[in-house]
Amino acid sequence: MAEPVLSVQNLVTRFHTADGVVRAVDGVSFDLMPGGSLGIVGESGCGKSVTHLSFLGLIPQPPGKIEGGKALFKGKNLLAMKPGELRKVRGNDIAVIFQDPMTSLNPVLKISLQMTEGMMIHKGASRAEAEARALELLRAVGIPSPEKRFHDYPHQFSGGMRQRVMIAMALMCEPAALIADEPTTALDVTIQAQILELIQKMRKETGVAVILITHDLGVVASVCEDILVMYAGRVVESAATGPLFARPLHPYTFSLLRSIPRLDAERKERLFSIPGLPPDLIHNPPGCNFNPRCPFAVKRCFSEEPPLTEIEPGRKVACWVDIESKKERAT
Amino acid sequence: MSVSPLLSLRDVKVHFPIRTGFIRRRITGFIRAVNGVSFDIEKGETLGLVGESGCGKTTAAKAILGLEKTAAGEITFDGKNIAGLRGENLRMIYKDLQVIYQDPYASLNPRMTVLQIVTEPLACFNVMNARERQARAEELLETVGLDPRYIRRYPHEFSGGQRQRIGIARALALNPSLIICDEPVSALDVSIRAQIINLLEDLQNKYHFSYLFIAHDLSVVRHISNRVAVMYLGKIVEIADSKDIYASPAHPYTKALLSAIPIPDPEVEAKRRRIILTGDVPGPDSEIPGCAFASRCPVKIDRCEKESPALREIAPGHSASCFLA
Repeated sequence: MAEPVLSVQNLVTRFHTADGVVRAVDGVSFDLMPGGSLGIVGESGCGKSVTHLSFLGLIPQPPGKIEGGKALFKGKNLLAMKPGELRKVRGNDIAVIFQDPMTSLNPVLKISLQMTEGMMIHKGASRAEAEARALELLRAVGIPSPEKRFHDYPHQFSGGMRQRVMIAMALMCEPAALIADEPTTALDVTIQAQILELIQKMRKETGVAVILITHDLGVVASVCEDILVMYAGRVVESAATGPLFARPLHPYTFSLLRSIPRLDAERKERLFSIPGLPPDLIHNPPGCNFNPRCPFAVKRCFSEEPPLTEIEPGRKVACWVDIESKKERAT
Repeated sequence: MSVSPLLSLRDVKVHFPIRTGFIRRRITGFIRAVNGVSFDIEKGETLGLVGESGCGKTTAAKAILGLEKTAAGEITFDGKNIAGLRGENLRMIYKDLQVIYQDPYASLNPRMTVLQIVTEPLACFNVMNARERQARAEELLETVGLDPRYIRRYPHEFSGGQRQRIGIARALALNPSLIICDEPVSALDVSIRAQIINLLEDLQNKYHFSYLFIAHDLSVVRHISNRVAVMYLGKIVEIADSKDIYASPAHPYTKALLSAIPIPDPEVEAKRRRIILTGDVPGPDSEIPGCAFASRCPVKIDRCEKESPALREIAPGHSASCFLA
């Protein structure tokens, strides 16, 4: 089997605040294969963004502190790197696209400058080389007449176009991994479809491995090969996309999938709803984090934290209960 | 069919002037946020209004609520024309017309207790004495699934979903006949959304009021609505029964919108054909002689750029504004 581009092992990130210790990321592990696409799904506050911000060294410390784990990128541990070394990785080997294309571009610099800067610094390219590459990428991401738009400022682009510029910019240095953190949440659905299609296309053309972080299960279903479901700082289930949707094995994944109104399903009288709220991550319940909301919880769930266990090849679940046998009861 | 609709909009327009010039401000154009919108809401019905950001759906709601001045058109609520009402006359309609907003953080006054928030509508109309109001507030909190003991707490002590419940309790206080919900679940987390959608449905079953349910998420709208209206650049392009809008969409924009919504099922996703729209949305200030969707439409003909198609009935209860429908 091929070596993963990025292997995160047992990552623990905590924030030491006046109210207590926030367990934002609590033992997260995953592998990203070359050219693969991994979807990280979860609600706000589940730690999906803090995970990548941690290994990219973008967590403000203090109050944040990475208290354990490894993040191996091509065999080197990102967590052990000095800031200067990490800076050579960020934007070069690993690129990030953030949610809001309005705030992640600098409003007072022309996009020509913003796009070429990284390549000139990381790769030592000349301005002419970098500009040629930028124009080529702008064309690839579907900006009409890029030569004319090249010297425009970000405000002269629409939201969808700005996200295209961000994607082109992220690909400038031919990164091995691209992290897209809610890349379409700020966009309209018809534009979202365009951007997701574009990310797919660029992945196929350049072979870049993609991590797509989102709260929308529909988005990962159409784009990703593998999925990691996070809840309250922990990975609760990881599987290939097909099996995960066909047969969710963690009660959270199962409940979540059933609680979303589907466009293609018969209209039901009532939606299945998950009672209660996610924990605040300071006062986690003992045992499994999902136990107060879980329809299947047994006694053991309230005392022992279930480890993420491989139950089938390529399929891991952190749950004490075999929900297959109990699904009938919840329906 | 029923006697007369509870709410009826006829060719409603809301235009925002564009002013240019530094010293002498002149009006040089208009943004036609709502550009001739007509629809009816029957008693006890839910009408879903969908569209992308900037299509004018919230402005239409504001026009109904009298928060935005209409440039033309008629709004009839409960048999009375309410377009252009002001002052005391406008205030009186809020006895029967209430609203739930998108952002549960911004729509509750942080300095008021839950009791004050929920009973404010009662105080505004001088209904009940203080003790009765408190009893009513406790009853309302129970109705929306909150512990009545929380009555002295402040909004910041609640989560987003709970705050939205407080907003719903406030809207219910006067037993209105129509509640406008402006994106009531889009600011909430996925696992909380189903709770609030179910609550809104339960309340309607219990009190039989109508909803105007505004959202950009067509799957949520289809779930909760009896009929769905699709808006694009200030106009309604299609309106139909919520079953029909999915089963047989007639307008190319509705088709594209439906095909763009991801379905959480990889098997279904793999088989779907997605209509990817190209072209740009025309600026809101541009005057479009033809169909507003022509610049992005995959099936447009020459006529679309010259003439604006009217909304016409293509099947019983199903209207679309497209020459090809």
